[in-house]
Amino acid sequence: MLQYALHRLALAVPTLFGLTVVIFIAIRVLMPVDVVDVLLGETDTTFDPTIAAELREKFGLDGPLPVQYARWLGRVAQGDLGRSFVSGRPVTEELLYRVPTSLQLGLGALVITVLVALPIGMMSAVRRDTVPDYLARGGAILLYAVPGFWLAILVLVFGSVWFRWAPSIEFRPFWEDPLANLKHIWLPMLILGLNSTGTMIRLVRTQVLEVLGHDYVRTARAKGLSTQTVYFRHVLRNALLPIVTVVGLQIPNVVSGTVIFEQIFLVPGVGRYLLTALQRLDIYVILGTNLFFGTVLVFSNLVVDILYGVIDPRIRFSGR
Amino acid sequence: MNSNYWLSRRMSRRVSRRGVLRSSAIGGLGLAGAALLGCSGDDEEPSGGATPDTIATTDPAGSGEPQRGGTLRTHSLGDVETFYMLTAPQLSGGRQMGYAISRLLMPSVGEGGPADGSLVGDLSESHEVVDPQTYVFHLRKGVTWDDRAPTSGREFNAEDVVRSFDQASETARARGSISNAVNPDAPIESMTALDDHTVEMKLAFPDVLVLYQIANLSPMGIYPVEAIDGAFNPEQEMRGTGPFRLVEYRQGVSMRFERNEKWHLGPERPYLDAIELSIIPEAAQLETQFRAGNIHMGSGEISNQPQLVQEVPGTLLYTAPPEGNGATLNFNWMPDSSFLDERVRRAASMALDRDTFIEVIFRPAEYVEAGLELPQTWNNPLPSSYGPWWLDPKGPDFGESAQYMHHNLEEARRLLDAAGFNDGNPLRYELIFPGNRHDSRRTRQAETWQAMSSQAGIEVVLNSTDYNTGWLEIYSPSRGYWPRGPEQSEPMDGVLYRPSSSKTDAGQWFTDYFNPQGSNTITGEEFPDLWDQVVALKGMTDEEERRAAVHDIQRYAVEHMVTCPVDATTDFTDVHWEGLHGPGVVQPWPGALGGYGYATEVLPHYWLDERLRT
Amino acid sequence: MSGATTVREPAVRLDGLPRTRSAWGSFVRFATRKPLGFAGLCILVAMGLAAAFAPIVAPYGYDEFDFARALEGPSRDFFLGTDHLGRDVFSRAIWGTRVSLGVSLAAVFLAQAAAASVAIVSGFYGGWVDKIVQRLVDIWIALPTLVILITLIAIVGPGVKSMILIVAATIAPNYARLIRSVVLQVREEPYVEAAQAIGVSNTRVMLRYILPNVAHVIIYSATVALGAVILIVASLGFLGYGLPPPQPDLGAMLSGDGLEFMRRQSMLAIVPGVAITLIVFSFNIFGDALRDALDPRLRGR
Repeated sequence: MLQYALHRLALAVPTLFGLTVVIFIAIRVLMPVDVVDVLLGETDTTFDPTIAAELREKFGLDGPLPVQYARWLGRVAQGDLGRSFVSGRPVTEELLYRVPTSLQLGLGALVITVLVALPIGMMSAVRRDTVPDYLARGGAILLYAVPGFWLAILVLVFGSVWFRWAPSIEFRPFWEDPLANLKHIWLPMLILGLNSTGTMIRLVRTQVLEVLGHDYVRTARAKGLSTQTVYFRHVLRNALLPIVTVVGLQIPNVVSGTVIFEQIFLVPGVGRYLLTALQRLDIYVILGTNLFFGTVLVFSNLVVDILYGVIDPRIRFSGR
Repeated sequence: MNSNYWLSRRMSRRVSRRGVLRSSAIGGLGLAGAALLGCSGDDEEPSGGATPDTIATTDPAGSGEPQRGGTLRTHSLGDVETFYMLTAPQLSGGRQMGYAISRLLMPSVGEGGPADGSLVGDLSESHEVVDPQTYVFHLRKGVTWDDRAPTSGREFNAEDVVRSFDQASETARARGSISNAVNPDAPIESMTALDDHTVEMKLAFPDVLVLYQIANLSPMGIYPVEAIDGAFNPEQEMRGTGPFRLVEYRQGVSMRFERNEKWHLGPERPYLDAIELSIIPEAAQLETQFRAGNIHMGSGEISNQPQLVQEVPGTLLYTAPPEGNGATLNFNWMPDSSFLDERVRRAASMALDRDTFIEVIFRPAEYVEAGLELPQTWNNPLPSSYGPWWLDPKGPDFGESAQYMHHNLEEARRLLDAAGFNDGNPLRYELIFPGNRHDSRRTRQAETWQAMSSQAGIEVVLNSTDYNTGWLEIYSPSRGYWPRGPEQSEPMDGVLYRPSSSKTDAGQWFTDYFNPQGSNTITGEEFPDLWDQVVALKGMTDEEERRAAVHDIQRYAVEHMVTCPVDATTDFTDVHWEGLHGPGVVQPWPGALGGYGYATEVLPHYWLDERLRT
Repeated sequence: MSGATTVREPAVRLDGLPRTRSAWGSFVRFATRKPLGFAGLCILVAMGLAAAFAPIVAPYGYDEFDFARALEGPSRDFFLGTDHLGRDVFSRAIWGTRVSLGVSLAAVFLAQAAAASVAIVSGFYGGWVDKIVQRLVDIWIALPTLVILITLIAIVGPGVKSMILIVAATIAPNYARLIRSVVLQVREEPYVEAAQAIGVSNTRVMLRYILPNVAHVIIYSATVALGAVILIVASLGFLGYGLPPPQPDLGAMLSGDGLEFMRRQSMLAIVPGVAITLIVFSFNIFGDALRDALDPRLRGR
């Protein structure tokens, strides 16, 4: 188990390394203009090449590209993600300020997804080919097909036109004012959660169907165990393993969703930080946030893999 | 000067009886002209009628004196990246700087009418011109810095000014526009302290426009010596001598400013106790929040204004002079460009129906429905917000050349024909503009432009580029790109360009955009005599003479169509909730609310009555 | 290698049915057995035809304007009303669908072609090539696709070409993994071994024996991928990184100008959203039905 985790961890490092290389190359090679030019912008009325040169030096963007990258990597190894090109603030600090908010939003959405999808998915599998099943399946595809940002915009625009309703304007961190925090974040959480519920319902249904087809379920039923006992003791437990994987599969969706919904719903998280940075091509912020998102995914995959081992029935059986 | 825009503006404003009544509410400001505050719905009800019980203590007509107190809730589109403009490479969030940072001089505001562009003292109490190259500033006494350490309420003195200038000429991004040491075209040679409260400024050459340069918060904000020496971090802490103090900043959420009780232009102002600024990057969210009353006023970005004031009782529409940065179509001056032919440039301009353009872009008819007549003006290359400095192309004083701005398809076709373009061989050019959702109005302008040109037989091919990547590649002349450099990858003809900042003075505007060597040139090196006229402005001490010269420059620019003015415009319009006094009455120079110094110049005059005090 | 022996073609075809059954027959069978999937197919065909023949089908061009009739509600002239420049919303939705579908089809085609070639080659040969390819695929899959997509497009600049290439590159690895897993199974089938035993060249084996037998996976995953890619493209458009104007982009129609005016002309808010939802929904129900029909192992479940 430990060896397995270590193995996965060893794979994580080159993954994240590769990610930063790709983005670095994109910014420094594929992008048609130099980031320093972007920074100085069109309002630089009296062009002075020394300013550009100073900026390059200040932000470590002088010298050959591999050297620039290595310099950045060297600092990252020490926990320093560089400084924002625009504000001069350290990226690490800014990220730490925003990470809890994004995690709260993402995890909350994930919980909503599971809470909604698990019962519906199970019901749909158990009542296969009945009206509720069709409804659940149709609903699941519909939930998947509706673009989340559209739903958000509809709520925002027509909520205000019809009911003169507006979501909370002022975000507060949970540890500061839990009530105000929840008042603000429930809506993006719900929409983000529903956004990935469709896929989840379908995956849960498939997994439960698989388990239902197994011999031990038939045996349990044949033994005359009550339907409930069968479903909860045998089916759910055995479906749990693949479902954990399924939850893991949803994490990328949720992470991507935070980027869109943080922007719409005034949540000061990492996703919005990235979008702002992209508008200005703030190179170290872009690298830093991508590294963060990459890390979250790599580690959540790791956690899922470990959980997989923990609840794997075969491991239990061999222990008996 | 009967058709003078400013006169007609004021006359049109008198149309509204209620507008007159309401503007008297600004007791502390007087009534230079009757400013118009729009009406919410019907015309007869006093505007406070929607919430009668909450206004019982004040006269709904607003004859009350300005009251102190209350928290104004407004918004910003994004975070403020840095508070330190002496080193900042980019000042995208610079608008908030004026809350706390002062200058030596600043443009005066219009009180009850448009501002006239004159300068008044901020940290400088008075100044004298010793000779055309020597200015002496007498600084205000008793001005103190922030109470917190390390400034600890220390008195502001000449050293702060001198050090701020030195630092700005060393590291400020716009240092090239002030410091002669950096740029031989820039005027200021040195600033020295004569005593604790007197500063002498030496110029390298006579330049009457230098004061306007100083009145621009970028790069001439005055910081305490402690900031420059690094005793605190001025990038992240906003500490100055301005009307407000930043007391709380939640990144990505909000900023809270409180009144600086010791402001040197106080003590009765600012009236507001505090300003709460929510950071709202989404347009839909912004409108929703305003409709719900969570913010009291917009900054020009709220959409659907005429509908909004009719649908939501208690909201008002107001106007201010238009933005100080009008879009122009900039021509390609490369050797094979069709636009080297003056006739073609004129035809391109005459294809545009500027009045219809206003209708499409601003939809003034909807404002009329909401009870507000918007004055409609045409920018010549100088935007119409520059008040008396701007010459109305529709007016009698403009002269012959104004015809090139009037819609005249027949003449346009005739000119094109003479230049060798006809239906078989139409004039075809690519219009490049930065079109994305961050600035959808430009897309709308370009699409309208294309449609109108087609009626003159001109084929306009739209080429929308991403602002950051494509646009700057084209429009970074300083980096050797268009219109001077041969480095652009694809041939192009026209660029729809909108300067991103207003200037404090018309002369400054020309200096930036007509300078053949300047980085923002839109004329290239095609019009040396135009540039000579602009340079001559620097030596004109007599304002009347200078204004006449500025008018001549506009005539010349339109005559030769050095750049085609695109923006025909209406007043800047915005909405606010009843109970807030000031918007539309206190008017900044030159126009829109976007100036860096807005917070110092305008917000101290705003006040809230009981309705918004809770 | 006398060439006298002909290797029998695999008995199981794309549809998992004996090859004697005609294409029409299996189509009718599909339509009757899977009415929902068939409905999805019909919607897709209808929308696809409308998009393909937009110049004929759409009553107006996407940039055909009438300033005097801006922001009108549905009427006889304008089935779904007009936008702020007086352009027909219905026509713009059709043109927008054409653009979105076109870009998504191109991206998915590219992605599947790349994924299939890599998967077949690496799955067939195995060994270190396979190991390296799999490692790379594993790495890529672990990353936040949409975030990287937004980042890359923001950096490189939006445009039809860059959009197709970047979307294809970011989604391809997912399909490479899926296809490879099936290639591994097919490689062990007797007819493949037989072909190799009689000396059929590797290229021919891959093209004639493996490709046709993994085709059902490619087709099914492409169908589902199309739905996903349309959503991705719409999200990019919404965030401001869609196709540059005046190209009508369904996602971008829901932001910018559309967002500004949708309170007044609600069709601006509803039409593009419904169009996206309908396309994605149809691709998914059709895809599901197709999977059941194509994959014998899943049929009847």
